[in-house]
Amino acid sequence: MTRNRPSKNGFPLKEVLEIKEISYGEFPEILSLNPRFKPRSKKVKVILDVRVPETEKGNTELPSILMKLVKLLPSLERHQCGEHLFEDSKSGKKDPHTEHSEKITDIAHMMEHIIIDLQSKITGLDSCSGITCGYKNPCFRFDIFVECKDKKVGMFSAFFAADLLKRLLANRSLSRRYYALIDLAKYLYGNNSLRRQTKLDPMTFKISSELGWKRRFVLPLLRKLKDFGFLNLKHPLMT
Amino acid sequence: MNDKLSFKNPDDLKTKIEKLISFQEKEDRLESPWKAKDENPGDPGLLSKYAQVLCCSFEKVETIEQQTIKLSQAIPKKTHPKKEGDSPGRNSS
Repeated sequence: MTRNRPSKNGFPLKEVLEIKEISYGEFPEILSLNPRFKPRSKKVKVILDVRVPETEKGNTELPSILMKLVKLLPSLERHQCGEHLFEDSKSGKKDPHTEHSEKITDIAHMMEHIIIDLQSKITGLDSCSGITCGYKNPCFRFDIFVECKDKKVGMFSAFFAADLLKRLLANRSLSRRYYALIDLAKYLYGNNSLRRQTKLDPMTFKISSELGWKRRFVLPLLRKLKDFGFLNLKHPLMT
Repeated sequence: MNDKLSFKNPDDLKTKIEKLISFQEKEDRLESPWKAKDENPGDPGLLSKYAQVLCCSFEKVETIEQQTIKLSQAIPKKTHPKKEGDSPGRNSS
């Protein structure tokens, strides 16, 4: 059952973002769309629907959301945007001048930046590029391509970014868990043998002892990493 | 061969991704149940479906180039009247 959980002063969570599909590959057809794409670089592709009701009066002030994001991901401030590489004004199906259209484009664009930053942070990339492509129809759909050297990190970054944005758009705060989740993903990425562990208990014990975190704090983080495709843990409580 | 699966996280993020049948190998024992679909197509019709494209990049060592702006500048600053319940203490930290 999917609950349409109401949010305080924000969007109903269910309505905002929906990842339709995640793929991984070179996608040579989009290489020319960002001159900074490295030839033959692998990319994660996320098909994303951004559904913000036009009449919504929630907290849609994106600059304030960006400020919250920068607290979590400070390197976001160093990102560069080559805005509007092209815009198909002939289509007539997407009106980029309406506030609503700009709003959903900004949200998709933020999602791209979060994915870039997360996976750069986790894998230690020195540079990373991406594009956000808005569909003519439906106008709320976007393809996001981000250079990514690890498929699972790409998938984690996409899920995490969507979760994060939904939370902020719903005017909900970010708990310490969000910070810890990034740290843990980075730690596990650099510890391949532990990352390949498939049993929850020994993994929890090892992380608790090495990072000095309480087991009851580590457990939900590992579940989240599993939910986001980063780990393959087996546990009776995990479905 | 490929099954469309529905993925749901605790915040009701519903996601359909491709689950691929994978064969475990000795060298690669870790197989996530959720796999991004491998895709290497040259889809010539892909670009025609887009109305607009925004491009972005991140470099640890910043380079100055024309036609680039900071993300914080890309999101236009708008001022909205303060709503009830908006208090500075409710921000993340």
